[in-house]
Amino acid sequence: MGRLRKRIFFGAGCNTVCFGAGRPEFHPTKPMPSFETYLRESAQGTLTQISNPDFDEGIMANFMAGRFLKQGNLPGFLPMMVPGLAGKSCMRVEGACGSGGLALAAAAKSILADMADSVFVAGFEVQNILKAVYVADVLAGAGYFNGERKQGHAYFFPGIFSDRAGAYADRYGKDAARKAMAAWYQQAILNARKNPKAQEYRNASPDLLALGMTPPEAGKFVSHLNLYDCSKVSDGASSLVVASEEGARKLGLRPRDMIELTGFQGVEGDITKPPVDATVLENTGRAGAAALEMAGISAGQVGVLELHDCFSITGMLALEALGFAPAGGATRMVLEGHTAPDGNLPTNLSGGLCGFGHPVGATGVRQMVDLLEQLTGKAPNQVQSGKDHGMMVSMGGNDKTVTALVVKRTA
Amino acid sequence: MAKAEWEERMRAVAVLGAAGKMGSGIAWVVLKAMADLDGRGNGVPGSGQFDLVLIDSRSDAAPAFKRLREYLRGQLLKAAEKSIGKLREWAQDRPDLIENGEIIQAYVDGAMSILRCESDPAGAKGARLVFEAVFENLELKRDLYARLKGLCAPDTVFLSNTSSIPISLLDRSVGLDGRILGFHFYNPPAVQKLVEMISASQTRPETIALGRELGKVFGKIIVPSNDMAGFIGNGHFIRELLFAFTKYRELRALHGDAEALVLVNRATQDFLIRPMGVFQLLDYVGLDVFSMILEVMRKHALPEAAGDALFADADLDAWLAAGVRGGQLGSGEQQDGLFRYELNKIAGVMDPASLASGKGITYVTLAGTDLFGKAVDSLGPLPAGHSPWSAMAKDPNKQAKLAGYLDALKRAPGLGARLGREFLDHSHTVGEALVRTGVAASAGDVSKVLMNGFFHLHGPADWTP
Repeated sequence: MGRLRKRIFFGAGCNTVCFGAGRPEFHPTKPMPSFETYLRESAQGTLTQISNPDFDEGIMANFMAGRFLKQGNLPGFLPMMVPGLAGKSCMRVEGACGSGGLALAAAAKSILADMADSVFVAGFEVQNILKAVYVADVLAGAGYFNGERKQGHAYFFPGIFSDRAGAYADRYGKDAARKAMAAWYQQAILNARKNPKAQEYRNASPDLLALGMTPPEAGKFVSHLNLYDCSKVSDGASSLVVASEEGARKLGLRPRDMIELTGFQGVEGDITKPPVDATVLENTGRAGAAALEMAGISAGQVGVLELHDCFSITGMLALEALGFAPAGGATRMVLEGHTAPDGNLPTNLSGGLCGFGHPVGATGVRQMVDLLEQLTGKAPNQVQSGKDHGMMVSMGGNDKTVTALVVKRTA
Repeated sequence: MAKAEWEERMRAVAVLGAAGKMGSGIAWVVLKAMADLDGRGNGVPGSGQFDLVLIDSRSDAAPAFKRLREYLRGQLLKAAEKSIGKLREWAQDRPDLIENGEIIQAYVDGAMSILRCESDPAGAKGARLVFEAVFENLELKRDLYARLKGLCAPDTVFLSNTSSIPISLLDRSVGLDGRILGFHFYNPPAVQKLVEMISASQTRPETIALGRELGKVFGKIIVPSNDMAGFIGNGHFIRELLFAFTKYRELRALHGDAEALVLVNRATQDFLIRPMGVFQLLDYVGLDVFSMILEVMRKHALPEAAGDALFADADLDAWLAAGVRGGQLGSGEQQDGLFRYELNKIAGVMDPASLASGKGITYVTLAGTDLFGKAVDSLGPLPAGHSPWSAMAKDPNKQAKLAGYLDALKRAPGLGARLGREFLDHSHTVGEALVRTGVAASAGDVSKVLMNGFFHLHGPADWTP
């Protein structure tokens, strides 16, 4: 793929608080905010940043509202969020945990196709309606139900990524893998503590590394992951604007408040087939390489990174798949602090899925909002990178629905 | 392979008094074990090979059974959610059960199909194991066993939840031929790990062995006790309460009646680091139940055991006569007794003086005396190293900290510390007496009962007077 035929920008991002266990205001038996509350709050946050909220199109990312909330036909909520979208083209995209990335790509494509100059993109998920044991059932829909669910673990995706963690440990060493996963957890929480919207913002555990080192208990959970290796059950919404130069001007967005999309690629894997190599995120690798190629940069030019660390091991596997570390080298990269805020590749600065939380359908959008804040100097956990580019990977299921996007500063 | 005897017997079980507080808990423990056996063998419970009959003859049985079914269904659901991994393994040959939710629902529905509720003890016919948890009254139990003996197969094994009535009395008077065992669950049976197992001289060895197996199946800690009225748990608890009444009377002159109740209660909670004080525990048990046990012990216990001959208390009798009750509703809600409760927390203390003056039961709050919470001025400071029970129970360094605390208590000034020492001295004496008279096999067994059945953090052996 060549370069983009038009300039495309992201701006006016907003994340709601990521709600769930860990937030002091969360109590499983007390009434919780409705999904409409999250949608309105997020849209409000986006709309207050633009002077003329006249969009050509709206896109909603969500995974399983049909099961969690018994609510389908989600495009209909876009005009509720942004009244100007009434009478416009709206759609919902679904690619499990990769829904947000799909929405960003779909918006970019509408602009590239000259079908829209400005697209309002939102993502959300509300899951705390169910207990974790039933949430696991719903999220298992990101795998191949007829082929995998019956034999799968009660906690299906922890089971899937536990298998990957086990394979990784077998190949590259159990101790190093466990230590790096613990370090990943520690880094996620330390970053989340700087982000008031993160689910783990108030996490005050004195010894994060020790928690991360907790030996997995197959009898209680899964064989190769402990609970700290996992993102939690989360509720929340995110939204932003995707616009052409013309669209941004009409909305009243200034270039310095936006970032520019320079490369992106979606990749799909056959959901009915297991991974060829459990230690490799093959499709993540493909998407990342293509996005970098389109952007015309090498991995070394990326200054901030947003990875889909639904589990600590997934974050590490993504580092390798994207070429930031050699095979088996992510352990060292994490343990040596290269992904920390003061490292050479600050990663998941708002906490990532392990620290910020994982409101599934919102996550891909949330990642772009966080890149936007980092690269425009407005992030709660701001780093000063000498590099102009940022990159994110949105992943659905077991490395199946993957979208990689590369962005850069405009100022 | 032939099934073990316990496994065979667990296919046909009856629980008598099943709608009561203890009975419903025992029904849950038994149902869970049966459902798991059925599920392990047949994928999910509900194969039709298991039968649990829950019997209660109370007059309002219908609403009580409805509550019991709701309670059991709720317990099953929680248990199934918690053990979903195991349930998935059992159900692996059931292609129709795929999701956690489907498997959990099948478990709950299947388990509920094991049980039936009956109001006539005749429903126990066919049971090979009978758990009995009717009211603590010798005549009532004797009549019931006489009827069951005529109904059930001759090799039926009976497990009585009595907390005080000698098993030998029941066995001999009905002629159960050594097939009855005291199997004393602690309240609430769903949570408490302790079962006091009481055998008499004529109890058959195979009955005792069966009791031990069942303890394992139920995941309980079995502590054997000799057949001496009150056994270990009540042998200690009843004597401690009687001691508490004497302390209450000592403090009355100086502190007034109501405050004296509070002081003894708070001293035994705070200075002994227990989950609740002695008088709150009396309310928890219920003054009426306590009085029944006292009566049994008066008739059948060895009075000389701890030098406390009477097994009676005039104040207790007066309060009972005036209608002070305590005890809990089936929902677990604590009823007013010596204290008034709001949401199961102490909110007022009965004023014995107003009771004596014929004004009926009145509850008061006392200025300067926190009923349940921070400091009680008159008790003085807590000794060094003190932590509240909930914090101490969770402390990984509990043993060393408790030893340090008890050491500090030995020398600490103030009324609370003095009362604490007196209660611990008394407890030590009772513990020694229980061993000396053969009720408990060892001081360790007394401690085991107090720590597992009463949630004490230390036993009589940890304190030297």
